[in-house]
Amino acid sequence: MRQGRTGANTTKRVASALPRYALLLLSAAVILFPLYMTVVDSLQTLDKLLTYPPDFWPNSPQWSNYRSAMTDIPMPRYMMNSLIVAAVITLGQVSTAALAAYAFAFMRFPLRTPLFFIFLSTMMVPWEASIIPNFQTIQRLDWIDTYQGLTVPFLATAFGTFLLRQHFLTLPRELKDAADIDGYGNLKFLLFVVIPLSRAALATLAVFSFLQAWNQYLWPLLVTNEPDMRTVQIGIAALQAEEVQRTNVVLAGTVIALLPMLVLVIVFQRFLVRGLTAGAVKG
Amino acid sequence: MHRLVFALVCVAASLALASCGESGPRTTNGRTEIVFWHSMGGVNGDALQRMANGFNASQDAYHVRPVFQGGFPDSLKKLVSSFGTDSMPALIQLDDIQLRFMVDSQATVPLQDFIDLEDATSAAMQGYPPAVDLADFEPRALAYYSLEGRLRAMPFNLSGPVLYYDKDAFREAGLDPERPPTTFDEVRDYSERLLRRDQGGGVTRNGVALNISAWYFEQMLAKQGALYANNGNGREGLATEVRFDGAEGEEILTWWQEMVDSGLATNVGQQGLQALLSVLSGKSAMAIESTAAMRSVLLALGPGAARFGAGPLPAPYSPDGGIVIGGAAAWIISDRPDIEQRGGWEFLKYATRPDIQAQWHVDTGYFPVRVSAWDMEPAASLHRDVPQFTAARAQLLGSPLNLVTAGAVIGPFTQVRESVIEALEQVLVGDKEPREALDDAAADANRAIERYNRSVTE
Repeated sequence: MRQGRTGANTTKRVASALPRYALLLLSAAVILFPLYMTVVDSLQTLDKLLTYPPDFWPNSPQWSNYRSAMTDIPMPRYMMNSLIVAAVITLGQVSTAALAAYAFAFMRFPLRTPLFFIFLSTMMVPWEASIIPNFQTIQRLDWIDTYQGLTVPFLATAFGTFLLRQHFLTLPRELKDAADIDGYGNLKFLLFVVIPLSRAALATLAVFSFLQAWNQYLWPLLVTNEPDMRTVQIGIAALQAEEVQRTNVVLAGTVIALLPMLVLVIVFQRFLVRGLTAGAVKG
Repeated sequence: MHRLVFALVCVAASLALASCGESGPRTTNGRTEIVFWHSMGGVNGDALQRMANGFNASQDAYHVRPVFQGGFPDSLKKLVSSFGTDSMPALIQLDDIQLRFMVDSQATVPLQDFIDLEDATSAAMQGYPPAVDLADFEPRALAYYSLEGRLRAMPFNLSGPVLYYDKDAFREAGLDPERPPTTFDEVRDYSERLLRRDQGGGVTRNGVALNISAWYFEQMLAKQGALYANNGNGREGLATEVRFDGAEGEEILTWWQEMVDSGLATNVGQQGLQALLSVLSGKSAMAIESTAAMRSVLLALGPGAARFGAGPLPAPYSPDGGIVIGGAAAWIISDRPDIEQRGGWEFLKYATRPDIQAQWHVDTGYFPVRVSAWDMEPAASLHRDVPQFTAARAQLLGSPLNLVTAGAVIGPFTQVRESVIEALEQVLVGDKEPREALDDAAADANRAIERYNRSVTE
């Protein structure tokens, strides 16, 4: 496309884009600054943190903060638990949401629209309202300190179903007709046609599910007592005391907990942007 | 508020179910296991684990297992939703203001029952040593956690508010660095002399950093000798109304407002510790903060900490009142089998031994629960390194023992605190005058109290 344009035209385009990029850079800096300071402060000594003005560069990085964060609490174990829990929840949410969204988008059955709205209405129930009954159910099932207790309540998602249904609706109906003629059943059509065409939406949902599961605090705190079953967010809370203590170590723990998320988002970033806007026009 | 009503419904429902939830005591390696839910994170959590290890090594009948359950609100939420199930702990550490709620929940055994039992045993058996020497316990802590003459929970970690100040700034302003201000008027006079501006008129150092906190408001009232709630702070009968909206409360809010408006004080918002950091960084000359931060912050500063002094919390006008002891206590849960309760009691006796308390004081910076622990090693060494503790101790020991310093006992204390914070914020941003803000806060608080009382008496 570019080849067709003249050089003058390109310069003009660059010039007009400059303020936009400057603004974007500025916003990025504003958003990244707290993250940057988290990393800097995680490498400081405690008395450095207490002095003013603060240092914006770790002149003598204290890597021992990271060692403390890894060893003062069973961090590797917490990370593994978080990974397992987040992976199971992500897998569960993506598969149940895909199946439900498929039904709402492609199948015809009585009360489809009202059912879909009832489905959606569960999004209006705040999680805080259902957390105690859920906890009591888990207790009664004797699922305290188990992976199923940590994951099962989150295996289905109304939001994910909504997201995927909206995307599925953008797929041409003719595909379904063609598949019918080819003798594809619903499951085959979902697996071999719909899913390959919806990778961006599925990746978006997967990243969101993973982020949410990874950042959970109250639920894992409620359903676990054994240190062996706890997740990384509780670990960070445990590094922190009621009063000020080793803020630098807490920040080091925060950075450690943040890394898997960062990697995930960077890897999936391409899909994320597409997924969020896909289906935004039609829908 | 709904949460509370809901919680109480849960309590009632689960107490009915409690008998079927019984499943025998927990055991581990042939010992009875005592699960202790606590909210001591970080360094304090390590200190607690060491304390438990010490207890576990000292005998072979019980094994205490501390389990961190997040902050006090998280821990309480988890406890309330576990009522009637066998995942309840034998011991739980909860913050001071949960006293009324925990008593009303009937989920705990008053600590006094264990003390009485042991007293009776030692009276019956000649030569049997008395169980606990209550005379050596910090009397203000015993007073706080007693209701209707019975000790309800074991004081576990204690703290109080102090005035931190920069001695160098005092010297520079021609003030005696060993004589911190004790009344609001003195704080104002000192601040006027400590205030520094640049050529443009901008404040480069203000007098005092103030943190919006309902706790400091409560402490200032107590320092003035005023009750916080009716019926003797809720200790001679169920509190039905707050009393913080009296002349003393108005005095506090007015002073606070004038100090901030005139630039003599800086409002550091609701985040704890910001006030102290403001002094450490030289932006303020004085700050009101808890003693709980004293050890970790001052030790982190090393020799540089020597220029920071600690004095008593200033009172509105007469410095004759005292402070209310803050902190948390350990509760024994009634749902657990007797043997676990006994084990919990044995652990609490161990935890409050003077030598253990001296170590706890050094590890955490909390005041020792035992009076004799102050002068014991390693506490005595800590006071040489952090002499600021001496002032904190003096303020505590100088506090008279009465209904005011025993502290208020209110069921929905969390909501009451929220209304006080709202009043402070409204006054500081200029939305309301102190009198109006206090009246509104008191009305809110009284409504919360009325609803709570109705839900527990019906």
